[in-house]
Amino acid sequence: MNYIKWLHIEGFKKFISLDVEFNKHMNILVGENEAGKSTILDAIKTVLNQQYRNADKSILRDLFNTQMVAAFKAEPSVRTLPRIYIEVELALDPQQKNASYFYGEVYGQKKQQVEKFGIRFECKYDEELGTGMEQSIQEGKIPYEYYTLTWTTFANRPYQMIKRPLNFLAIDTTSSASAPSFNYFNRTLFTSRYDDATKAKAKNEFRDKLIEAFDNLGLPALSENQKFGVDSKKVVLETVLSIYEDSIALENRGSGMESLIKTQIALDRANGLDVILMEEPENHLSFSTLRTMLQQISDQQENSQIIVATHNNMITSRLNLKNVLWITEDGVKSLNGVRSDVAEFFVRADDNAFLQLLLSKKVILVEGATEFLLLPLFYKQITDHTIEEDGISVISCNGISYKRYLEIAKATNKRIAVVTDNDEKSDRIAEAASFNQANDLQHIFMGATVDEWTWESCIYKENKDTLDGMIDVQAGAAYKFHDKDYGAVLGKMLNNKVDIAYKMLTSGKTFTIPQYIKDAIGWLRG
Amino acid sequence: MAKRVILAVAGAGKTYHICHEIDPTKRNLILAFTHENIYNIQKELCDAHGCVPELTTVSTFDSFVYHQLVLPYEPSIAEHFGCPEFVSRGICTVDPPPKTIKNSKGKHVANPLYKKKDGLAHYVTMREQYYCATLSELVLQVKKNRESLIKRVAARLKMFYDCVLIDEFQDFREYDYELIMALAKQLDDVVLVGDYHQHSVSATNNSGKPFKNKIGEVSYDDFVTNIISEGFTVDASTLAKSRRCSKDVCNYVSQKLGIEITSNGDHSGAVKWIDDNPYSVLDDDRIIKLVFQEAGKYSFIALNWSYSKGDTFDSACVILTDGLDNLDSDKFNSDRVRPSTLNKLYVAMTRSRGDLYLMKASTFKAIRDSYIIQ
Repeated sequence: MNYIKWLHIEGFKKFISLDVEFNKHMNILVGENEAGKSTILDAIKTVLNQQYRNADKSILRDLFNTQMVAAFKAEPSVRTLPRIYIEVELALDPQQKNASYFYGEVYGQKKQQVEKFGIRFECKYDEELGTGMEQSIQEGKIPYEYYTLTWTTFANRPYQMIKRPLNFLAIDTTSSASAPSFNYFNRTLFTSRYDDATKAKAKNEFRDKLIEAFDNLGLPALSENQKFGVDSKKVVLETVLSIYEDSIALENRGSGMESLIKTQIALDRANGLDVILMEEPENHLSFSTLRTMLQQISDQQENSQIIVATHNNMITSRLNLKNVLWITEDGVKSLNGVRSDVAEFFVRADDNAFLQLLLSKKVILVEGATEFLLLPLFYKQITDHTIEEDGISVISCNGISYKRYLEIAKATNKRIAVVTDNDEKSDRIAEAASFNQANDLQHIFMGATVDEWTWESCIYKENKDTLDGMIDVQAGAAYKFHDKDYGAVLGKMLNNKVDIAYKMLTSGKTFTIPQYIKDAIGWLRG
Repeated sequence: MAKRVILAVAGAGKTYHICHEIDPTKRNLILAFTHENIYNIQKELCDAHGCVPELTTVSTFDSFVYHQLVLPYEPSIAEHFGCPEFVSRGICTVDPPPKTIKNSKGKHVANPLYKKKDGLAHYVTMREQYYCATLSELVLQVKKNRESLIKRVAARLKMFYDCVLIDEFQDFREYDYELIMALAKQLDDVVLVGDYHQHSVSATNNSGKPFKNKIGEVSYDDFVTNIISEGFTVDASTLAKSRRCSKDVCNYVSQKLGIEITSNGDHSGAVKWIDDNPYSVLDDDRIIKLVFQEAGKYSFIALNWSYSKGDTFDSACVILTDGLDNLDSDKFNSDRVRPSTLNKLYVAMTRSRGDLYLMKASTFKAIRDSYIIQ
């Protein structure tokens, strides 16, 4: 199978240098806004589709890395001018036509020089072209017009899309200009679906028939020697094609259906696409349509290589966390070290906060909604900062065992505090203590004795008077919790966890914070 | 799966055989010496398979070496010569400075412009273009660590091609020949097709291996022995009969030039000396005239002997050179003719699929002036 193995970027948009190793089939790019997800897709498109080939050179302003531009301004010279270098390493079948055209030693800074399949893109100042520009360069001006863009295969041959190494399609739902995106989609599909002979025949016949049809119209001539005729250069079959489903053109469907159908078509092996890029497929999709799309993708992911950039939890977990490529400040991290059973669990658990876990600097994992509501309040009270200011996320496990989250988080080197209950089990207290001994980055906090067995009991213990005053109980009512009597007020708190938490939050009162919560916050900030 | 050399006679249909023998579903690499050869091969492939089969690549040898063996390995080449920054800018068909030059007294002396072969400048011009003439030598020269480039490029060929066929292999000399042999050693399926007796006919590169050694010319038998020692099997029968030349022409060539050639005998064609009536042939545009050199200066349709290689004509008239005036005599001894001249004559005499006309130099000289374009 043909696919993209490796991407190497230097000086492109936000990356001074970046390496990404791709999985053979599924790849899910996640990261903060502005982390560079789109830039990675853009880099691939720049190389394979020769994006920007005919663009005005002024576009380079947007493509150069700002730090490299700043470095040039600080010390202007021909040597320090910004440049862009992108290398895409491919896995190709040596049996296929033209494969050798892409095979050769790799250039670039990397010293190892074994033969590989691939294409490199270079955008650099052409000294020969720019003779006479030295003065203005010394003054700190970047001579955009004198830059050249070159695409070369690893065999050191010019890359032209006509000799494409693999069939590649980018489905972009972020662009509002849908007409060009459709033309690209239709054209790509037409190219990959049919062999050269079939295409050539269709194009020629279409042109001939059209010219013939026009001539048959018998329009009166303009003058004795002038008449209208069809310009065959303007009659290019691909530009007038649309895909029809049940005689409705794809562009006339709603944008949600449009994405769904495009994806479906792209995934069909018969259409011969090797690599499919998808940028934020969640856009325009309802929950259930997204689900349908994800089902299609995961059913057919063995057919091709899929590279998805997304912000969506459901996409990441449904398409398996092991396939996640996480873009961080320090480069791209693969989560393929996550244990399979854990990843499998998240595939089924739609409602999870995996992405949030991944994208926060520090995390407090809590049991449920009560802690979720009150922890930020307590945090502010102790530290005088909001959790947002300190880049901390509170994530509610909502019934998913925190252990599963910790398992994923292992791969991420994140500081995570778990705030949980001992449920009156002393072995849990011991277990947490030994866990904390063994783990630097993950700590578990709970009440220190079996009397402090849950969040509510600890809060009540420290704030008995305040809560007795706040919470009305009916005389004589039992307020039993799990058939056990904890006293009326605590009983009511246990039975109405979220309501009481909300009441505390909005009461404006100051509460005494249980020690284990103080410990958790203190440790996390440490 | 084998290494084979098919020795052909003139007009046996080498190109036809190659193009029909290949398996069109396999990845074939067909190499030949000139663009003219390439064109003929492509035409023949189209006749045989409807088009050039999708996975079959046809290329001149130089283009193949440049694109497949040199360009993809430029980083190693640059490293080998200690010029890690080197990036080439294309190719140059001008020859590099020769090792020796003649001084004003006509004596061979060392050329100060000559660059030694262990430096990049031996292979690359000042403007960083590869010399076409030293491409093969370059490939043979480069090593990375202790591994030779040859080994790596052979692995490349194995990866991308199932079968390598080389047409007119007798045209490959010196480093080109060495390169082919070095590659063949590592490949599984190689077929070389050529005609020993047509070597040294092309205008360039007529020296050295494999047809000359320190002692002198390498005979047909010695050549075959050498090829066998390189691990090839030699097939001298498949293309032993000329489809082009008639029985009479073949017999005459065998008898006079001592070069064995037989006809498949399916058509006629006679050998005719025309010294008695040269005008009838010279003025007949249907008969191509083959002269030793300077064909362009005559008003009749003419071609140099060496340029006619690979061509077929309905009838041809070979205008002989001074030294060959006694060709019609029983005393004529082909051993006295220089091998390169003999081979060119062999080529010229085997172009016609019909009659072969012969004219002595003395006859032609007497009337030549009236045919020279002013």
